Amino acid sequence: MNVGECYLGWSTKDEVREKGASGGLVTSVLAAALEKGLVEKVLVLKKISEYDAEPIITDSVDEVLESAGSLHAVPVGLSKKLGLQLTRLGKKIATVGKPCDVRGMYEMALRDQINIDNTYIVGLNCGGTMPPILTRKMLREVYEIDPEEVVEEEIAKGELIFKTKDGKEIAKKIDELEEMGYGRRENCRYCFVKIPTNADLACGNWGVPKAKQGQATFVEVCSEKGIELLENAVNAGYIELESASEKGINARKKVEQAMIDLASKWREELLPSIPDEERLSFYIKELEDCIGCGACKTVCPVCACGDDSKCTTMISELDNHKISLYHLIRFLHIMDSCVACGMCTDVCPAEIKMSQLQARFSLPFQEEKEYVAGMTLEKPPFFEVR
Amino acid sequence: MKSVCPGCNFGCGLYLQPKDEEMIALDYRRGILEVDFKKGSEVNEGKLCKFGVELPEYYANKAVSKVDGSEVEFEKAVEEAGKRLAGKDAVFLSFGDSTCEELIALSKLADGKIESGLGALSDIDETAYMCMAVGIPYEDIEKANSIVLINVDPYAQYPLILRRILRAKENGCKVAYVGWRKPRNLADKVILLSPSTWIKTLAELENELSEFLGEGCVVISDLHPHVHPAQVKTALNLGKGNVLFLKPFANLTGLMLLKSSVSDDRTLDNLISEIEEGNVKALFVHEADLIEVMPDSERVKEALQKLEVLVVQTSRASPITEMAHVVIAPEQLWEKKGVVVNNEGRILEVGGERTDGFEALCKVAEALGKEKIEFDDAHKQVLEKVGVDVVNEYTVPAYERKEYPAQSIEAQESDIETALVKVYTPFTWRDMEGQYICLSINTIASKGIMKGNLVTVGANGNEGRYPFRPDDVADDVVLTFGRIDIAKENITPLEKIENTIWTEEKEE
Amino acid sequence: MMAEEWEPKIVLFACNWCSYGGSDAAGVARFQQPPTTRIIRVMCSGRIDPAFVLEAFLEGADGVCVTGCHIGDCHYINGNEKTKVRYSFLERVVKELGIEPERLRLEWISASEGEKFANFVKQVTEDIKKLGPSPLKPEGVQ
Ligand SMILES: Cc1cc2nc3c(=O)[nH]c(=O)nc-3n(C[C@H](O)[C@H](O)[C@H](O)COP(=O)(O)OP(=O)(O)OC[C@H]3O[C@@H](n4cnc5c(N)ncnc54)[C@H](O)[C@@H]3O)c2cc1C
Ligand code: SF4
Ligand code: SF4
Ligand code: SF4
Ligand code: SF4
Ligand code: FES
Repeated sequence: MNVGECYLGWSTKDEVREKGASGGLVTSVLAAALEKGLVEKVLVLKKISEYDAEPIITDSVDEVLESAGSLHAVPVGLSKKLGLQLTRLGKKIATVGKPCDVRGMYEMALRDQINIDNTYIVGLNCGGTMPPILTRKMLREVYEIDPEEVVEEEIAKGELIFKTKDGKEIAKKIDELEEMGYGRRENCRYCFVKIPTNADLACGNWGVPKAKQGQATFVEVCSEKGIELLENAVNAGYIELESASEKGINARKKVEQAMIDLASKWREELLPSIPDEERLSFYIKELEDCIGCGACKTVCPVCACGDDSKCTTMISELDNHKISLYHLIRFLHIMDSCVACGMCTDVCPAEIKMSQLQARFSLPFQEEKEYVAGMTLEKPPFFEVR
Repeated sequence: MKSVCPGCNFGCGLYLQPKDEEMIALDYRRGILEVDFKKGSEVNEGKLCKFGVELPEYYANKAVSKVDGSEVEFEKAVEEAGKRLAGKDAVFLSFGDSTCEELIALSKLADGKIESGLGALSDIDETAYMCMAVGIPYEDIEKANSIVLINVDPYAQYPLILRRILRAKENGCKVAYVGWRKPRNLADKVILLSPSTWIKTLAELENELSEFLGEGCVVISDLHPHVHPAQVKTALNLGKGNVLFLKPFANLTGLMLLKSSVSDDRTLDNLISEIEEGNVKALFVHEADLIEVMPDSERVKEALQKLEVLVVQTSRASPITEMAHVVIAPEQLWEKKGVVVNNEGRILEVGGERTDGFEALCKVAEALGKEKIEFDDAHKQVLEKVGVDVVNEYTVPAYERKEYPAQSIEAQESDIETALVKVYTPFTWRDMEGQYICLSINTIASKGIMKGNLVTVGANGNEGRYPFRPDDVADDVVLTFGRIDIAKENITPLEKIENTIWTEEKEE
Repeated sequence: MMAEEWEPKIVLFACNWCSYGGSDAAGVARFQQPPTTRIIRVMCSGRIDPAFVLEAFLEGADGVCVTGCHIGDCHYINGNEKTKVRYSFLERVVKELGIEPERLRLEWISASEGEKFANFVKQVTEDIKKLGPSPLKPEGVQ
């Protein structure tokens, strides 16, 4: 097996293959890594409902196996979760991650929060995640079904499909839903890293031939650690592999490119340029409701400062600045490294679209510096001079 | 594990995970717990205010069980509490900072008479009680035609309500604010209160706000032991049932539901007077601290010293645990098994497994020869009271609201020229607010106060020096969210506001 | 009181070894320069945290200047090269915020360049006068 090769793979356990989003390969690879002692712990999601899951770091193989399946309405940030854990103490951990999670992990590694050598990352292709509560509302108001009745959701051919307990299946066009304000989070719509080649394995259903849809996972081997993970799972009898066809590989590339093109379109629509003289009042207005809770910093994978950071200690409740220094410092500190994961927007109690505001600084700046945040272990621009 | 934030009665959901021992040492973030954001929570969509974000620090402060100041085993403290309370006619105080099940156990211990400190509301018509206890669902705020905020400044007090109001505004809703500090640019109409006329202003709001009232109007106010009855009555009158009272304790709604009435309750002021006069000799305080919650903490400390028996059951170390004869320190809220009811009446599982606090209350009750209750029965009683079969965080149970008559408000005026006004936030109750004052730009300019200087304020013959921030308050108001030592009341007339001269400070 | 011509307030960060020396030299040689600057001396331009500059704006500065030794002359090996990197961040933030670029300046000035220092201050003052008070000035600040 070599880095760069692509396979189709599936779990040998029927229930995992059934429950898994594609072929249950991801779950099986993680479980095998844990069972065979390749890693001590695994970071996965513990499902509470279709719209809610808790990220857990577990050493139980059963808990890993239970995590099979994709939750498209659970935009949880896994990098920060992992960063607060034990890879720095020499413990080996395997984790899943969407591209933004993996990119966050790399940026955290650059800041000494994660030891990448001890981290096995199984990346998932990602077309986007949806905000859970808004999705529940969409189900009630657009799909006209009770969110509790949903047993499965699926994205296929640009449609978002929900299946209910009593066997109903309703599909709607994602484009139309997004025009209505539902659908994926805004940052996901202009997210342009769709296949996490920076992970050890990049898994998804793009490239799986029609006949095997839902029965196999397409996996690209991205590193030596990736080989280790796959071989371990094959040897442990957890998965079976076959080489991916040229046709599949090309199909996957094609969808990826289509998604990236779509992202560019959304970027123009969601981050329209604002004339110079109106920008300051735009930012003042956008930030005027900030209550200074600090949540946007707490969740940010790029921020490694902890409780005594500049942005929080240089501000004071006594100030009456037109914009909080907290935000200006953050715009600047995060500018070269923001991975556009959207976590900051998700958690803002004042409904400030922090990720979208940050992107106005970050995207052009990263382009200027020719740096794509979170893809390599190269030093980010801020550390250009040592 | 799934949890509910204990910071106020909003009921924000979150995930908490205890950190590994070695991580506590390594982690750059303080505390023994880690917060994960629960974006699937209907109440808060994963969003939290500063309290929730910094919850690990809050929970880092744990009480220890004590008898007469020395540490003891938990069981020993429980046993001792039973002994000391035997034969005493104790008062049982709780603000509802615990699970409903515990409150039921406490109620058994207190022979059905838990003091809530809400005595100021005792003369409000009983038919309005349900509307005080349980508010309208948060989601209805988003659909309102108009919103009237009475003494609720979302930015400082209940930030999680802000996003609901912002969404309502996106749908064309108009917002009016009446209170002590202008809430940035949130409201279309702002009526700033003045210490001399504020009750009159409240009494006359119906005319002033006529364009906001009527069909589809939602009134939001706060409710806590220090709230002035005129404010609650105003909210009830204007809202006509469409009201939401925001409360600062994790389960004050639950307590109010279980109590069914506060008409026999004392005010905290009365309770302390009775302790001073020797009418109350034994006090059992449940998950609360009287010293922190009263503006004049010195007075409270002196009064508490007069008690023959002071038993405090609390998981959080605070000034009162330094004074109590017996401290029973059970598990913290996140570890508890049981439910709380939030401002809108949603019943939420706290998420923990332990029942030490519950058992402690039962044991003390047993020692006093009272009826004992099993946890499962207590839980059943809670469900009955709320009127549901199962706990479901995704739905708000239907509550029966009666029509109530308009409440009369005595429109007093006073001759106060300038006053220090204390505004309560969820932080105030735990003495966690910053010690600073808010002044209007006019006050700052007219007194020649310079940025970075301290301001000397005087009241009751005392003086104190405090940092200040320029803010949108009336010129006759000096506002504070935190503890200001010279304040003896919630509205304290001021004799002096001056720029502190720095040279003087240096000489000292 | 007669309406006086508005004078901007400019915060100028100067490193101890070069640009502060330059300001000294300007004074000693009596080069004419407007009284608009408030000089803050730091040991090295590398000590100038971008947050200081942002805070100066928020506190009401109409302009902020970052100055230091010429590249290659820094007394702490390469402090000013780090300043350069940080400045590129600052520039982007200030630009994106919609603050006129003339309000933020970077200049390398040696201890002997008194005239350059005086001319720099004159130029910056004139540019900012044309722009008027900073839009970030808080209420009540002059
Ligand atoms: C939000 C989302 C969007 C996706 N979009 C695409 C796409 O557009 N194109 C494509 O080819 N593939 C996409 N995938 C990947 C695909 O759905 C499968 O996860 C992948 O093919 C692996 O399948 P599997 O059966 O081997 O995984 P499984 O064995 O089912 O394992 C799934 C793993 O994903 C984790 N997981 C589930 N939900 C999330 C989440 N929200 N965030 C982080 N981790 C999660 C689980 O904990 C589990 O470990 C997406 C996945 C997610 C989670
Ligand atoms: S930001 Fe990108 S990688 Fe992350 S959830 Fe959205 S689309 Fe997926
Ligand atoms: S700033 Fe926001 S979007 Fe960017 S990395 Fe941090 S949390 Fe993610
Ligand atoms: S999360 Fe929102 S309210 Fe909180 S500090 Fe960030 S921007 Fe401000
Ligand atoms: S609003 Fe209340 S419940 Fe929500 S996070 Fe803040 S203190 Fe906690
Ligand atoms: S010493 Fe002048 S820039 Fe470093």
